[in-house]
Amino acid sequence: MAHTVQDAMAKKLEEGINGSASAQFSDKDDLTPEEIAALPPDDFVLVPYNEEEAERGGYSNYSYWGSTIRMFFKNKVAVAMLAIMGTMLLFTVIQPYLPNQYDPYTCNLITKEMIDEGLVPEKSIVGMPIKNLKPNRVFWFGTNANGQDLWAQIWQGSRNSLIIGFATALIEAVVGIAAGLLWGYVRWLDPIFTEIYNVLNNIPSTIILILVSYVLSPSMGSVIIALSITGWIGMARFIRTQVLIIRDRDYNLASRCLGTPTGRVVVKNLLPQMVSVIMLRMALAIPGGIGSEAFLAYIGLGLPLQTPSLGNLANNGRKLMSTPALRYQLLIPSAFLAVITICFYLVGNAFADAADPRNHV
Amino acid sequence: MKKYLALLLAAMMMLGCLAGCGDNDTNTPDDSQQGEQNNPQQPDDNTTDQPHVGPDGRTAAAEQVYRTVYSSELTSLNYLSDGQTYNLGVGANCIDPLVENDSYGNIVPCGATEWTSELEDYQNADGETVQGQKWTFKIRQGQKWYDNTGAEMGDVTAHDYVAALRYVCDATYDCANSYLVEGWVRGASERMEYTDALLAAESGPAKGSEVVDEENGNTQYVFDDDGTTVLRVLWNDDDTAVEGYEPMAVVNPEDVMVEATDDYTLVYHLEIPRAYFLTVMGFGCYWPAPAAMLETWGSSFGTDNTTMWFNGAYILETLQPQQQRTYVKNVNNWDADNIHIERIEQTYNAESSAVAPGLFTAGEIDYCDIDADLLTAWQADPATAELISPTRVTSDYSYFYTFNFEPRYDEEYGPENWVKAVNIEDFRQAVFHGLNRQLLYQVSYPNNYEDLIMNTISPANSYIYEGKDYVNYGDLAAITARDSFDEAAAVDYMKKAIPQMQEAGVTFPITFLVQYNGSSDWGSRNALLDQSMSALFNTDELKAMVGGNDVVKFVINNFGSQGFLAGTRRAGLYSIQECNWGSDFADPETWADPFVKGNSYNFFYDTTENLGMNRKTAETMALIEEYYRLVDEARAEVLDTDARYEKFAAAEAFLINHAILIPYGITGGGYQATKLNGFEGQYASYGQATSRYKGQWLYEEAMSEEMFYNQLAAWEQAMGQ
Amino acid sequence: MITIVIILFVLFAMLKVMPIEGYFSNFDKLSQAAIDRGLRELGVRDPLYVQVGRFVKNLFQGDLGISHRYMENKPIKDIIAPKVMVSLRFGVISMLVSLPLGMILGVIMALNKGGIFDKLGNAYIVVIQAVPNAIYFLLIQVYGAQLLHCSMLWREGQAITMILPILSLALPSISSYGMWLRRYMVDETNKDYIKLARAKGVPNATIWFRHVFRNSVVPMVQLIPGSLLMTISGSIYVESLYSIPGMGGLLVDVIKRQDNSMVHALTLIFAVLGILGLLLGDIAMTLVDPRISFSKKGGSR
Repeated sequence: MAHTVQDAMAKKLEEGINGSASAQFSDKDDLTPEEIAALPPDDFVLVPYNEEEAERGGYSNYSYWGSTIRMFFKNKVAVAMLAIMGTMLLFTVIQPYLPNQYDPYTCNLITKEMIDEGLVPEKSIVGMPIKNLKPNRVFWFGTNANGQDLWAQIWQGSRNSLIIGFATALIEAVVGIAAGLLWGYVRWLDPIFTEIYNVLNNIPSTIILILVSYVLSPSMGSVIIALSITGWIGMARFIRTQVLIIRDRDYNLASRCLGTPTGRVVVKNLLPQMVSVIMLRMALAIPGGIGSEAFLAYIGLGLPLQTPSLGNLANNGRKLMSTPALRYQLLIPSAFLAVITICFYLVGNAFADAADPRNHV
Repeated sequence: MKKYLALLLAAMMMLGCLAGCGDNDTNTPDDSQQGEQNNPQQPDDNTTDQPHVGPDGRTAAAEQVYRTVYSSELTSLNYLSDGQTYNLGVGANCIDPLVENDSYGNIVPCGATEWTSELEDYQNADGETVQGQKWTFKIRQGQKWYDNTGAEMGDVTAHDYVAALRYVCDATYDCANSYLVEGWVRGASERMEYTDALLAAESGPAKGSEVVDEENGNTQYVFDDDGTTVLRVLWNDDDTAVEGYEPMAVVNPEDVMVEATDDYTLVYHLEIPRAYFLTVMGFGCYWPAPAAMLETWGSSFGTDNTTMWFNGAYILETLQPQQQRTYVKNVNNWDADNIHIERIEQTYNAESSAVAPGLFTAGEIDYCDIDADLLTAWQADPATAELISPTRVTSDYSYFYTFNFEPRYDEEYGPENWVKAVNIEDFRQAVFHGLNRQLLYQVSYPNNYEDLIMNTISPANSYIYEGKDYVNYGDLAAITARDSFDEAAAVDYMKKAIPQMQEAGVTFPITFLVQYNGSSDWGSRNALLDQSMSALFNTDELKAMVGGNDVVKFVINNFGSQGFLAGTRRAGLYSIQECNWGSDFADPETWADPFVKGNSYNFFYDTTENLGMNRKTAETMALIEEYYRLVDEARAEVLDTDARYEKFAAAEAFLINHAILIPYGITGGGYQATKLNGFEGQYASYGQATSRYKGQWLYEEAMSEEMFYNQLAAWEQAMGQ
Repeated sequence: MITIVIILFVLFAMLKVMPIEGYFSNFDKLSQAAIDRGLRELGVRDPLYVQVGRFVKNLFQGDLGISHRYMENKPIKDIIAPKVMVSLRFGVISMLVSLPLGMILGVIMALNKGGIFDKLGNAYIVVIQAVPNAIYFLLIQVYGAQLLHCSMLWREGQAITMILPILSLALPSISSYGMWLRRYMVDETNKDYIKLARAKGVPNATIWFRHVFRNSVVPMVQLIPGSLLMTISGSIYVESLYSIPGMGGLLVDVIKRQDNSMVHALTLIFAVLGILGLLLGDIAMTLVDPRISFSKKGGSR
């Protein structure tokens, strides 16, 4: 599903960049003669002729990035989401260094003090793991079946999931852009890339995902590779379309006539046109990657539970669903997963709107 | 309406039969009910007047339809060729073997009514006269084969057993359990070897164009110019050129020494005497299959329920893969009175681990497993606490830790250092006594781990000779009686070991590479192993002895489930590893099998030939020699069971006392919610007995933990007698 | 066609790296000879072109092959055929439900752009996309069954048990259809001809339904044949939860079991369906919109 969203957003930007849109006219300039007559004369000042001013022409201090950022900050929801996202990102990094944190991997054992304090049932045996303890003041999110602290596990999981998300997005961007530029700009490569695209597009992506994660033993690296193998082709095709549109424009023709090397045309003339699109696709690829990892976890080929990720934590919680007392182990990781996805989605969406020049007035 | 009729019919037949065989003393408990059942006071009741009440006080369900969900699909119903316990469950319920077990593991008649065995001499291939054994079975008469619709397909005769075994001994059909026939029945190995060669010759290149293939092996067999004789290709020493050919003797199906002397008499000729031969009947490769059926379907026999026939307690009426399986009672079975569950409905659900507990509480199914994860919550909730009971310990798989004597892993983990350490017995003893088995085992079995821990490799209650359990023979008795975990002893051994290790040039910390297959339970066990051992041995006192370094260091590696055993244990890529072995037949020899020469469990043998290296010290080699002497001696003792057990016990105790491996625990013992009573079913520590539904009732309510332990106590008491 | 052959080569090459242990159920106890024999029968050691050639040859004889591990020795078409029908049934019903609902959602959101309905609709879309299916499907099953007083599993012939799986299948599709339609309609309203129509004084309703809606539906129409065909592949989540014997999860299952012949057959089917879906989509589009034509016109790039 994440992919369809991504495509929809991409299409929207595509149209923005194509410049097919005409600037929106202000519709507030049609005052009636009566209104004009009623305007107070004090509001008007006679401006004397100034040669210097008259020379300036239609220059405005329009800046694409400045407008984009200004537009973005007008969207309050997106700003709030950005703040949440930023806080979470910061927290995943600093969480292990905060005081009183449990190690996510250690199976915490029952101590005498815990029984005395009433943290665990009275008849518990000292030295045995603290299994499935509900959220409480010591273990904020409770413990899992192995006595591991869920709070620490969730942050470790978010960290791993985000690493997977960022890494796949980055690989997708780098490989996808490089391939897309070649595909679009070097004409004789076109049939080859088109065939690769057809092949990759028509082998069900699950089969590739499964085969790769199956053949490589499960680890962060193998999951990232599995997700990137299918991910880059979408980006490449997108870039290729953009290149096809832009490459024959007059200024590129002029550049070529002036003897600018192809590489320079690509890097200086083409790429900047697409920066916002690429950033958007990356922003959406991150939750996409996290979601795909959750799918891999669901079919049993994701990260092992010893490398927590939001996907496998939620998946592990699924089988406890039938028991109301244990549902916290499903709901907490699911909530994290949802919040991260919604943040990236809304921020990405708002950014796409803000980056659309049609909306810059 | 049809269902009622069938029920009525079944009930009437039951009554008739009970009346008919009331003098049979196995039926005495039912005699009291017989009177009540004949009491026609409630004419509106269609079935029995008084429902059956089980030994645990539960009332039998009015409708004996047992419903479950499953997530793993059957891959084959071909019980002759398939080796998976799960698949064999179908055959176990649908095919009557020669003998079966009662609830206490005793062997009782089934497809055969009586049997005898006698020793016989025969000439082996080398012309020597050796002692073999002859088993003669009288086949039960009047039994029929049925297809999945219940249509009669002919009589069950001795010929069906002969045809089945010939099928198993044909390499074409690739039978997984043929190793339980080869080396047992005379002529089986020869027939396998010949058919194997025949197949290789058929699919390989022609004579004169043999292929040298380093990766897949050179061509081994070709046909002679006449196109029928199979020739073994003899290669020169460096495997580059063909030196000659050696014709192979033709071995026909008839040369497998199993015969039907008449329609109802079956004779097996064994290579060596095996007093426990009857126990191997629990495996599919010895079950009957009519020649007519095998001919009709050949290798596609048993692909689904329409390509096989049934003669057992149940008929697999429908089989819709990933949808549903339905078994119906075979009302014509000789033992139909003991088949209480009328119908078994198994519904596929890929998510059964997530969905089944909810289905059970909603009353939609009659059985589900309760994971260790769910257990505490279910026990804490009064609504569910009474629904769960432990599963029975079935003792068919034993778990133990092995030390790797020939590690072949990466230099970064210090295999040479490990070799030096593992050859020092005091070091092994330290680890042996330092393994906190209770802590580890309760990851999976939080409530009854104590019942599951074993001090020997062979499980208790498996081999009992004249009232004496094998685990109480010889030196095993002392081992059985104690717990190997002893922190003080472990530290003492380590103190003794450290100077020896320093002398041998061991550097500290000693790295333990421990692998697991990605399972969450196993991962937690390994994490606890690391935590507990490190806490035990990396104390300031011991660290001071090795110059301040840690003494031990654990590297826990998740290998993943794909190709796990091939990539870890068999390749020698571990320091210590949790391993298991399942028993194939009821003799302690089966538990010596994993440690034979050439094994991939601990490489505790002279590995020069197999691995091209042998880094064991003279001290270890002496242990190895002694161990194999003990095993060979025990194997040779074929007739006197008491002496045989004594000798196998000595060999097993030797391994444990020298800390070559660490016994650990046994399978079973999880928790379940069930409306059956497993103690009413068949029991054996090998084969398929526990998969059979015959003899079990379906009750209205779930079994509680209290009922379970009462039943267990009663069962153990009965076993002890 | 060439694409399919390349796909087959890539697939066979990928399957070559699967560990041989996985082709056997009890590798541990098998002799080397038995392993060799098994591998020979499977043909996994043959060179690629031989494997692909054999597969294509059998294909032309109408033979998809025989399953080795999933259901031993059973013809693949016999395994797949009933499953396809089941998945198709659920897929088509859920599409019949979700397509109109999704369109209504999209239209309401577009008409109400920036308003409360648009915001609510967006919230729905965002939540459905963000919360993993595997989790809210489970919630639907547990609470839905209690609410409807019906079985948690699908039972053939009990229509009430179809409600929850169909609902689960429809929820994400509705959001996806709604999102796309809104997107297309909003784009369409920004076009000059609509502005012109407004300026001319064409009634609002006519603008929306004559121009905006009809033009926005065209790209949706292109997607429909593809999604319809792809319902054959089933939904792994829904079918697993409700015991629906369809195609969902079959691919995952056979890859895990290393039933290569099943993997080959399924990949081929899905690839063909994918290509066919695109083709039919284009045709459907030309049918709906006479302006679109795929025959080469002079002057096209």
